Amino acid sequence: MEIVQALQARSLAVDGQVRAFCRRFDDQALETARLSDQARARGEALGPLHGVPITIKENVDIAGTPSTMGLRSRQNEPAKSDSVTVQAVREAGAIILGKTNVPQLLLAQEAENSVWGITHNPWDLSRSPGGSSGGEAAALASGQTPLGIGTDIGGSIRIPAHFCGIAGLKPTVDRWSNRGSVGAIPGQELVRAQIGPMARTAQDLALLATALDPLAMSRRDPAVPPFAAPRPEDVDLKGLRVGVFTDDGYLAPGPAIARAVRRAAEALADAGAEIVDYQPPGAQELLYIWLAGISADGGETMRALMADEEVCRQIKPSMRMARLPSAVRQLAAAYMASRGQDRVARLLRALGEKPVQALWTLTTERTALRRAELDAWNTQNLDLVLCPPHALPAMQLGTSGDLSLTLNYPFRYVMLNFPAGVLPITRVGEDEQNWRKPSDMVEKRCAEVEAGSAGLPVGVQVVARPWQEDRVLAAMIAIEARVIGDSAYPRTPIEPMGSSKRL
Amino acid sequence: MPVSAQRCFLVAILATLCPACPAGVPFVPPAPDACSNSADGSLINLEIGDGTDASAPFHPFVQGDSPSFITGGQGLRMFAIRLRLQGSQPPTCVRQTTAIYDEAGLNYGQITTPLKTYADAPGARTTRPLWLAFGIPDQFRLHVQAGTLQRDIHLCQPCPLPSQSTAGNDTAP
Repeated sequence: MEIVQALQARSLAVDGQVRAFCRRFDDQALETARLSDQARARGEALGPLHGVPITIKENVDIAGTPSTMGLRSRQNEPAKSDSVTVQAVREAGAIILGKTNVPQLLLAQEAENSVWGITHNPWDLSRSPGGSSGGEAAALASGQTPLGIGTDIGGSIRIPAHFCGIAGLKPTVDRWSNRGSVGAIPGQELVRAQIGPMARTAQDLALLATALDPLAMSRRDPAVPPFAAPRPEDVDLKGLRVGVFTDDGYLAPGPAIARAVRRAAEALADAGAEIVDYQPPGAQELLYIWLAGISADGGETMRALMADEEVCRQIKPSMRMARLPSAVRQLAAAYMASRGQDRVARLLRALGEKPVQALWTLTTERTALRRAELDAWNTQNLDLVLCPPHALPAMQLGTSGDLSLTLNYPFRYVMLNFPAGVLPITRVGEDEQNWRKPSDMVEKRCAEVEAGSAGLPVGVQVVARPWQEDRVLAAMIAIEARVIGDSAYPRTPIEPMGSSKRL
Repeated sequence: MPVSAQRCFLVAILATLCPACPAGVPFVPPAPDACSNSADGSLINLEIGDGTDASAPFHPFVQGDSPSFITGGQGLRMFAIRLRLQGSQPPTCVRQTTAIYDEAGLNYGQITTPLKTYADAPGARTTRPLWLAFGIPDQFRLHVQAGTLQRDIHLCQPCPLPSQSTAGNDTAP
């Protein structure tokens, strides 16, 4: 019980600045903790998370509370039952402290909406915690919760983990049940969201990832295969082949992020793995297929969900582009291309309403790229890949609308449906902020994010073949054990701070 | 060690570290003795004392003191404080915020709850115990703001060196 009280006291100290929570269950949590303590005193075990507090992302159903996705139109629609994952969390004995903030429609690298307000990054309150599981990451990094549940459709677990210096795992789709996880575009399955665990460290992440019972989830959700929980402790990293890349050829990450990838590779080499270079296929194609697929209805589903609510600043630019008549978009694309803005020109061509045949073509291309990736892994006999989680560190609040093309690294493994985790490695150095020579407006925006980023945490992305979450977790634990003593390791929890205090 | 074994080990350690669990019943700290209609009153001194034994006379902490910790059912350390307010008109309900910081400045938690005060000596009123279940580090700074006064005191358990000071902390307006 005292752990719940301690975390509530910590929230009282910091959440006025961070604003990670959008709904708190203080009284219920204390009552659950009291019952949990009594059960322990009687010698009863409630489950592998007996008495451990946890927070849940806003769009994951908890009976009696709305999953609004930051939309006012959904404020009066409480969920009728717990999502399957929340049921598993309760059955494992965990105590739910509350729900955490998200961006409008879950479609931004921030956590801002007109229902719950703006969540701030505790490493720099003027910057974003990432999105869409930004509230979770901010709550973890600021010490308000030890464990969290997020969802990821384009990096929504991994981007916040990278921005806030915590750990997160996007499992293979349906490894954990997504029943009761609300999304912005129901029925859209070219790319699917996946629920996953978040924690401050890889060790804690593995605890949560292995504590929930997938067999129980499988009984409640036909999509979940009846596999046992992953067992990272059974993985021997000696002799595994690890492909490494620091630049996918589309948008280079900052030097601190490339350094983080190399440091993680050193750590895995020290653990006995064999490190080889890897150049991933289809970097550009995957990014634009994702964007083309998700906008295939011209944004109509999202507009219907939003009713009369104003579109927030983070998704307004993409929504505007998607709504342009096709001929206008093609003209605009030709103009941008003539000005050397090839990335934006291709974005304009990708977004917008499409006939069913075009969506089927995109799906075929996606599947071909999935197979090409697996073929490439087989050719090099790879077991794992290490790469950047993102091209940038945490961006300034309100700026992510112009930065959707920086999502190449996190998009990749949701499109390919490989399990991928992110863990913190280091922090941006003073000499690693002003290096980019912008060649177009995307890179110009990137340079603006990187300016003043010294001291912010950056991480590495660890990827395994589909269904091999045990290998992702084992590699993350091995890396963490070797980097956690580094002087630049971004240790959490931290006291919320402004940029001037970061170094 | 496998994760499941680690969990069992952790639970076993927590169970053995639970000296406040007579007959296996974990100690549950009582809620703050809260009130509404708080006032600042007229204060000239604020003292922070050990509150773990509610029936004991008020005993102010000095710098470097070791509070009496109780370990709860989940293995977390906690302790209680009492506040003594002195002045021409100490309030019967004082607004207060109590927070704990580690040496690096990390705020482990805070409680902002107005507390009832009870007559002590002439011109002095004392609160009932306020339990702090914050996950307390070995060395920490206890910060209390009560009415218009605030006080910081450094406590530890275990302490790296014998207590060097015997004087209470300064009260700042």
